[in-house]
Amino acid sequence: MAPCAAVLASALAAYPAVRAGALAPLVAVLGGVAAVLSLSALLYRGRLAGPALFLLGAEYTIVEATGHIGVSSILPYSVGLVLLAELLFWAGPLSFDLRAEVPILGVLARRLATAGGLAAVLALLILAIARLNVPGVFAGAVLGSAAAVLIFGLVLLLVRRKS
Amino acid sequence: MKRSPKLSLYAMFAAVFFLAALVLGRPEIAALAAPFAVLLVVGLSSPGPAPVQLSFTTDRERASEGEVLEGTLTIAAPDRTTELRLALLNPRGVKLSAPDTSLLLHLRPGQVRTLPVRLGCERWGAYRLGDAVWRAGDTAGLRVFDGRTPGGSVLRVYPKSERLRSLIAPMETQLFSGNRVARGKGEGIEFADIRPFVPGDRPRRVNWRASALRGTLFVNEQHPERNSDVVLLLDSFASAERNGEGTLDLAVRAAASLAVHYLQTRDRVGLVSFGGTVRWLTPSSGARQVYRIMEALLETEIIFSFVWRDIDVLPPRSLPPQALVVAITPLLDDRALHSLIALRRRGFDLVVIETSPLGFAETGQRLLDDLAVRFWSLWREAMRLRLEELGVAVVEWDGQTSLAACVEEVRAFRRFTRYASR
Repeated sequence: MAPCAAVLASALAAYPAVRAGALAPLVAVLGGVAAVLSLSALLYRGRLAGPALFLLGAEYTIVEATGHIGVSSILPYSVGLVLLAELLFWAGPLSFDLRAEVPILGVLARRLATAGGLAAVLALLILAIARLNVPGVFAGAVLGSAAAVLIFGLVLLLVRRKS
Repeated sequence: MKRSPKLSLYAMFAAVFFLAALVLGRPEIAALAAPFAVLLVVGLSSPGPAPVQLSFTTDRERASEGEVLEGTLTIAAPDRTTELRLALLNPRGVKLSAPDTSLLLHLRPGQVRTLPVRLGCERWGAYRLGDAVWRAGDTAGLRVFDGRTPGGSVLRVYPKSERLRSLIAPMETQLFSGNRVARGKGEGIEFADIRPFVPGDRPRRVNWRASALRGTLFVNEQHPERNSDVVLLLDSFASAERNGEGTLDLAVRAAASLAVHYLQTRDRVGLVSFGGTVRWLTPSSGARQVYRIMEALLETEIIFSFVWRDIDVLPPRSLPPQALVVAITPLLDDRALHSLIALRRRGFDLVVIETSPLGFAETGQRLLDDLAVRFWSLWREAMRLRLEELGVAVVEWDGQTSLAACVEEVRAFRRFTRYASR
């Protein structure tokens, strides 16, 4: 799984960099650091997975916000980012001498497929919502904030209830 | 149960990129954050992890050094799906080898799994097996339950016994029957001498050939078969060690080998562990004594102490009169040397097997280091000579050569000292 994660991290780091145009040097640096952090996360038990994911997200956001990249690319990128996160958190903490059973690889594959499918569906949904004509910027901001508060409220509720 | 780093990161990632989408006014960016938020919601909706039950059993409770045993690890899952990361802790001296000691398992609710584990017994000692650390995670890996299960299985690894062809014969025998030919004359098998017939002698003991030659009746005399007392004196004042192996290991192996062989020849064997703490086992014979001695040897350890000790602290029963005392010592502590000299001066039949610490010493590269090693060797030589002057056989055993060769060396020394004493 670690080689898959390494390849995926490299691809996610490289994709915005090649599309960045004039921003390519800055984005390439961000992507390079993100790729190195991803590899370090695999080597050092997932400790640097967080900064790696944030840098990859930031790299894509910069390129997308400056209009160098098509909106539709969010779908594969979002799927890739979720898969990378799952892989880093699964393979990273494993020590080298740990033997994973074959059935658990099936469980992981199912989890990855679920996460990837979920990300794809959500990306499509968000892209569709983004094309809706919301009357006014303020209404859009209110709508977005309400959605965010709803999601985080749900998460907090679940965390409190389960812990 | 605690939250995994994944949970915090996913929440933070989702929050940051939702905010970025809001600030930048680009709702597409929210597509980066949304899957993480939804995964959190889905993951936290599922039941959290629960502790697992572990137990470890072995097919035997006793083994010898070098043996390989089979063990079974049983894992009982809780009533929910669990992802279990498990590491069996390796005690020093036992190698848990096959198939693996670090595992990642998927457990269905209520499932009981048994896993075979192979145990290589590398060093003598008593070990608690089955210590394990584990982390049970929920299906999404957002919450974990860390635990440590103490092992409940005890394995005793007895020291490896060296093969000996002969043993050091004690100078004196005891009163009980055994396999040793006594010096005295009495009822036995081995021919000793002839003497004139006296009333009361049994006719079957008449030596007819000698009687015919001398014209009067002569009877045969025999040496009786007796046993002897052997006390193994283990010097546990100090030990030299290197890479987990030391003079104490050699001493324990030598003591185990000698004890087994002496007990096979129906001698009574006792054990005295003389060091920071003093422990003893009074001489006895039989198969049970083998296990007693082995168990006592497993408890032998070096306990540093500056208290001056000599043989006066030993109870008289632990050192019976006319016993052969086989001292196994690295000759690293003056207290041990003085005690051995005191034993010899009290008339005990003493043999010293020196478990050489020279092989465990690191030799430096500088000239002074070399000089120090040479001085140390000379000082040790002087100690040996001091014992040999008292008629004590001192033989060096480094563990590389066989113990049988050392025993032969002692036998040769004792043969010549006996001639010299005549």
